[in-house]
Amino acid sequence: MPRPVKSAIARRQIFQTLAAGVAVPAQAAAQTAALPLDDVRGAAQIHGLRLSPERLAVLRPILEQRRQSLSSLRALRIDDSVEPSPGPR
Amino acid sequence: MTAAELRSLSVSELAPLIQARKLSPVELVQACLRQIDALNPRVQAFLTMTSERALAQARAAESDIAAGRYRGPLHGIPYAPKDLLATQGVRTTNGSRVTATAIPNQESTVTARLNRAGAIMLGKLNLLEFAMGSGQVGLVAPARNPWDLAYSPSGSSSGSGAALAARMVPLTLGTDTGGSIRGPAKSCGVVGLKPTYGRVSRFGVTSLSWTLDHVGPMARTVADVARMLQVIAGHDSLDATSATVPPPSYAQALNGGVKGLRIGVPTEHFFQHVHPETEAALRAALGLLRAKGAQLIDVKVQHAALCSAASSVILGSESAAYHEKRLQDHPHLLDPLVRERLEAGAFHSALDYLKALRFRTLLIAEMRRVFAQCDVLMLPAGNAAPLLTDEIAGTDAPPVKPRAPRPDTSNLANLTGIPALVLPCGFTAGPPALPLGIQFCAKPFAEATLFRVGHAYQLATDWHTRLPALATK
Repeated sequence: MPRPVKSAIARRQIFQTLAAGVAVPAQAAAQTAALPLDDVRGAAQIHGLRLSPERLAVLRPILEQRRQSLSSLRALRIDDSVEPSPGPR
Repeated sequence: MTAAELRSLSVSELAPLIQARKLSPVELVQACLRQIDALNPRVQAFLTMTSERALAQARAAESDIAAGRYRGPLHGIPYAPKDLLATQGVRTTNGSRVTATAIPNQESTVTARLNRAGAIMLGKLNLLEFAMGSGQVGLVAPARNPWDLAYSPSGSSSGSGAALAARMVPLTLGTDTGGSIRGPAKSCGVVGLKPTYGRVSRFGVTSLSWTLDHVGPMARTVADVARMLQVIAGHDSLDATSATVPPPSYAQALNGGVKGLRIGVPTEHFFQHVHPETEAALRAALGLLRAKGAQLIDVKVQHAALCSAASSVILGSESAAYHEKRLQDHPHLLDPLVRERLEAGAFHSALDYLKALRFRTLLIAEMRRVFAQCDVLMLPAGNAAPLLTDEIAGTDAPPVKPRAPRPDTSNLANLTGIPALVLPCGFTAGPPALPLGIQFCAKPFAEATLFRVGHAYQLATDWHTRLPALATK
C-alpha cells in the first residue's frame, strides 16, 4: 500500500490530537490530506480497542470524515459556567 | 362495510363503532390480518405475526364490551410495535441476527399500557438493525415504501411507517434517536410524534443512545396519535428518566384551532438545500395556517448547524458503550454498517462527549429563548422525497460521488428533548408521487399544542386520507 503523502502537520500532532480529543484548528485540519493508518492504530491502542488491520483500514476514512465534521464543534468556545447537561429538557 | 372501508377508518372513527357494538374487534382484526397476508410479502413491514393471540384477544374484547366492560378508546383497536420493544413471550429481534431468537420475560411499559387499555397487538414490526443499520443487511429483507416499492420508507422505524401507509394496522409504535419516527412518518405519508424526553417510558426498549432515545406513537391522523399518547404517556418508576409531569387531556386540545398561535419559521440553516418542491409544500402549509389565524414569526436558532456533530458524538459514544459486549462477541453477525458505527463510536474521547453535552446545555437554553417568541417552531421534515432503497449507503465512508447536502432537521429535538410532530403536507410531482412532510416542535411537555396545530391542518387538508395504489385492493 502506498504511503500517504506527508502533510505540514506532524503525524505525532495528529496522534496526540486523536488521543486527547483536542480540537484540530480548522486550517490545520484542511491541510491534512488523510489520516495515516499508523495514527489510527495508535489511537485504537490508546482507547483499548483491539482492531485488525482490515478493520482499521475500514474505519480510517470514516474517522477522517468525522474529524472534519467535528472541527466546528471542537472549535466552539463555551463559557466556563456552562456545565454538561445531565440529559435533555 | 367492506374490509377496505374498515381499514380506511381512523381510530377516532372506529372506537365509537366498537363501543356501540356496531363493529366487532374480531371483524377489525381479521380485516387487518387479511391485508397483512396480502401485502407483507412485498412490503415487509412485519417481522413476526401474533395472529392467533390477536384473534383470541379480539374475541375476549368483544365479550368484555358486550358485558359492559368497555375500557376506553383503544379497546379492540389493533396496533403493532417496532421490534425494539420487549414483548413478554413474543420474540424481540431488534432486527438483528444477534438477537434473532430472544424471547423476553418482561414487557415494555409502553406495550403493557396499550395491552391494559385493550389494544390488540397483531405482531412486531421491521426496523433497521438495532435502530442504526442500513436496512440492506438484517434479519429479513428491508421494509419497502408502499407508495412505491422501489423506495425506502426511511428508518429506523421503517416497518412502523410502512404498515400504516399500507393500511395493515391503524396504530404503530416507533422509536426516535435522531429522527427514526419522523423520517418514516414523512416518507410514508403518515403522522409520527417524538414526545418530550421522559414523557413516555423507555423501560423494556433496547437502547441506542440513552439520552437521545424516545418512544412515540404513529398513526394516520393527529387525533389518533393523540389518543395513543394519552394511553402510553405518564410517569413510570421503572424508567429513571421518566418525567413526573402529569399528562393533560390531549383530546381536549385537539379542537383548539390555530387562531392566535405563534408559529416560528426559521430564517436560516434549516431551509438550506431543501428541495424546491418540499419548500413549496411547506410554504403552502404555512400559508394555510396563517389563513386560519396563526401568526408567522421569523426566528433564528443559534448553533443549529452544530446539532448533527453533537448528536453524532453522543449517539456514537453511548451506542458503543451499550453494545460493547455484543460487538466483541458477535461482530460477524452484525450489519456491516452497525459494526462500523459501533467500532468508530469507540474512538470518541471523553472530551468530545463532554463538549457535546455542554453544547446541549447551550442548545436547551437557546430553545427556551426561541419558545419565548413562538408557540411552535416549524421545520422541514426532511429536505426531499424518500430515497430509492438501492441508493442507501451501507457505509459511513465518504462516497466517491459526493451526496447532495442534507440539512439536519431532526437532531435538534433529540438533543433538547422537545416534542416534535411530523405530518403529511403534500406529494412530489412524480412520477412516482411520494409523500412530503412538515414538522412542528414545541417547548417540553407541550404535545397538546402540537396536536392543536396538526389537527387544525388535517381538518383543512386531505393529504392524510390518500391511499397508496397498492393498498386500495
